[in-house]
Parts: sequence; structure tokens; C-alpha cells
Amino acid sequence: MISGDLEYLMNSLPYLSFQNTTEIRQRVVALFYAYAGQSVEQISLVHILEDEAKKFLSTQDYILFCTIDLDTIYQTAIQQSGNQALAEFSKFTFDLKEKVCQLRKLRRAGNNKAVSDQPGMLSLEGTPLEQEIQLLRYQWDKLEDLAMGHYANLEALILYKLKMMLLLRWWGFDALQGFEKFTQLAKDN
Amino acid sequence: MGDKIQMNKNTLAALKTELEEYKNALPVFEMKEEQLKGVVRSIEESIAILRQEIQESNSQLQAWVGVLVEDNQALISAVRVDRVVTEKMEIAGVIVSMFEDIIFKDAEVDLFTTPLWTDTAIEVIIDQKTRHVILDIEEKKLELLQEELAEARRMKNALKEVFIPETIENIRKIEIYLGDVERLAIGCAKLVKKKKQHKLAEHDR
Repeated sequence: MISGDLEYLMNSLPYLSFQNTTEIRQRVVALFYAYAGQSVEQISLVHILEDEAKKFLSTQDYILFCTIDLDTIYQTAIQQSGNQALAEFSKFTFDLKEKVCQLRKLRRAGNNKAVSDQPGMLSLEGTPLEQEIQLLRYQWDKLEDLAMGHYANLEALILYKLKMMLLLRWWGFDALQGFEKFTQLAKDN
Repeated sequence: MGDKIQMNKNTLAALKTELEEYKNALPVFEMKEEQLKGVVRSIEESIAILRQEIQESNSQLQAWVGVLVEDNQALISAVRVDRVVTEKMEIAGVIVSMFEDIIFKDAEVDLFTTPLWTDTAIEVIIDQKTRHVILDIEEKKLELLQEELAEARRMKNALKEVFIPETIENIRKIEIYLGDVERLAIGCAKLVKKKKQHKLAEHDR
């Protein structure tokens, strides 16, 4: 990857858009591995990004950058982070998870009417995959909003990492592997 | 039945008793065969329905099964079977297991931390697992009943085509033989009587 300041890094990173096509996946992945000098997909794109970011961030910022993970992003510690964009996205994710939790409770109770009637209730339809993509889209849109005005600073890099994580989660949904796991779970006692 | 039979009245009596027993046993095996045929047919039908349901469920989930790639320990715990409840039952003399219920481990799913797809995946996996368990039980049942059906069929055919005809034939042979012996004895007795009368007549003269 190009060495220099954070602006160079941000400009050299592949452009991310909320799409899941083979072409886009291949382009992003190929660029990351080319920059990292890797011919084989041995390490994750997140690790490549973190390694590159290390060159341009202070130790404190780098530690913060590395702690960012979609599984823990909603946690209070991150909501109270000094990084405004990160804190705001953390709160957004927490609220989204609460809404999803509420929706699941109503669905479990078999109260589908209440689900559609409640103001502010999430409207998620379609297959479980389509619903996950809708949730990813909500998060993606929030990241896009938060990215306004941030181009070559830590916030921009954090938001880029979060976007990449959302895409990697989406791109990771593989029907063949999923079906293999389903078959195994459905047969094992 | 291949052994050489003794041509006497005792054997004849024994064979007649045997024939009676064979004739009594034949309808029992015929009935058993019919009953087993019906049961086997209905199990085969239920197995076909189960396989069809498994296939349909597999096809339906192709649209979203990719989400299952994600690690989800809560899902794995929630679809773990605690026990399968079965009841023993006798069908045409065969003891088979009948599916009663399937109990899954009581695992809590955290609705906040687990992904949304977890709920549907648990439902679908539990349904599919239940079908697989029932299918296993039905297949074992079918195997046992098919063995019993084949045995009943073998017995029916053996009685109908071997034991009964052979016994009837042996009875016929003994009856002919004994008839011949009896006629021969009568003939001899008549001859002896005639000779005696002849001797007496000569003596009187």
C-alpha cells in the first residue's frame, strides 16, 4: 500500500459500496491482497487494513481501531468512546439491537399484528437472509451519514472499517456452506 | 419330508394329524402376511411423505441458508436433542418402537446478542431434525416388519406348495399301500379257506 499520511491511506483503499456481486467482491479482495503483497488469501481483509492503519495511527488510536468489532460494537464502553462517530454508531447499533429484540419477542408470542401496528417498530420482511441484509443496510446508511465531512481522519478510517465489516459479513453468507452446516445440525443428535 | 416314510397305520395317523395342523396354520400365515403387507405399505407411504417433506424443506431454505455460515453457539445448543420418547408396540408379533415425542435441551437464546436469523433457523432445524428422527424410527420398523413379512410369506408358501401337497401325497401312498396289503391279506385268507375246504372235502370222500 502507498505509504504516507492517513489521506494517502484513505485514498488508496478500495471504494466500498453496498453491493454483493462477484465482480465487486473480487475487485475489493484482489486490491487488498495486492496491496498487502499476499497472493494467497491467508489473512483476513480486516487484518490487512489494521496492519496498514498501524503505520499511520498513534498507539492509542491503533488500539481503539483494533478493538472495533461488529459483535461488540453496541457495548457501553464503545458508546462512551471519545470518538464521536464510533460512539454514535455504537449507540445506533444498540438501539437497533433493542428494536430487533423487541420484534423477536413479539414474533415469538405470535403477535404479528402487534409487530406491524407498533410505532417505531422495525419493518423487516422476506427470508431471514433478506432481513439480515435489511439490517445491514440500516447500519450501512447510518455509516454513510456519519461519514459526511470525514475524509482523511481517524473517524473516516473507523467508518471505513465498519463498512468493510458489514460487507464482509454479507459476503460471507454462503449457501453451499450454510446448507452443509444445516444438514449436519439437522442430523446430529 | 424327503426321508423315506414308513408305510404303516401309525405313520398314516401321524401324517393325518400333521396335515390337519398344516391346514390350520396356513390361514394364520396368510392372515399374518396380509396384515403385515398392509402395515408395511402404510410405513412405506409415511417414509415417502417424510422424505418428500425433508426435500421440500431443503429446497425452501436454499433462499436463505447462507446465513448459517456464521458461528452461532446459541443455535447449536438450542437444537440439541435431550431425548427421543418412543413406545414399544407389537405389530403382527413383532415388537417395534413407535415415535412419541422429541425433547430438545432447554437452551436460552439471548434475543439481544444473537442474530435475527437465529429464531427461524432454530424452528427449521428442529422441524427437520424431528423428521430425521421419525424417519430413522420408521426405517428400522420397516426393516423388522419386512423381515417378518418375508418369513410369513416363506412359511405360507412352504405350507401351501411343499408341506401340504407332500403330506397329502404321502397319505395317498400309504393308503394305497395299506389298501393293497389289506386286499392281499383278504385274498390270502380266502385262498387258505378255499384250500381248507378242499382238503376237508377230499377227506370226507
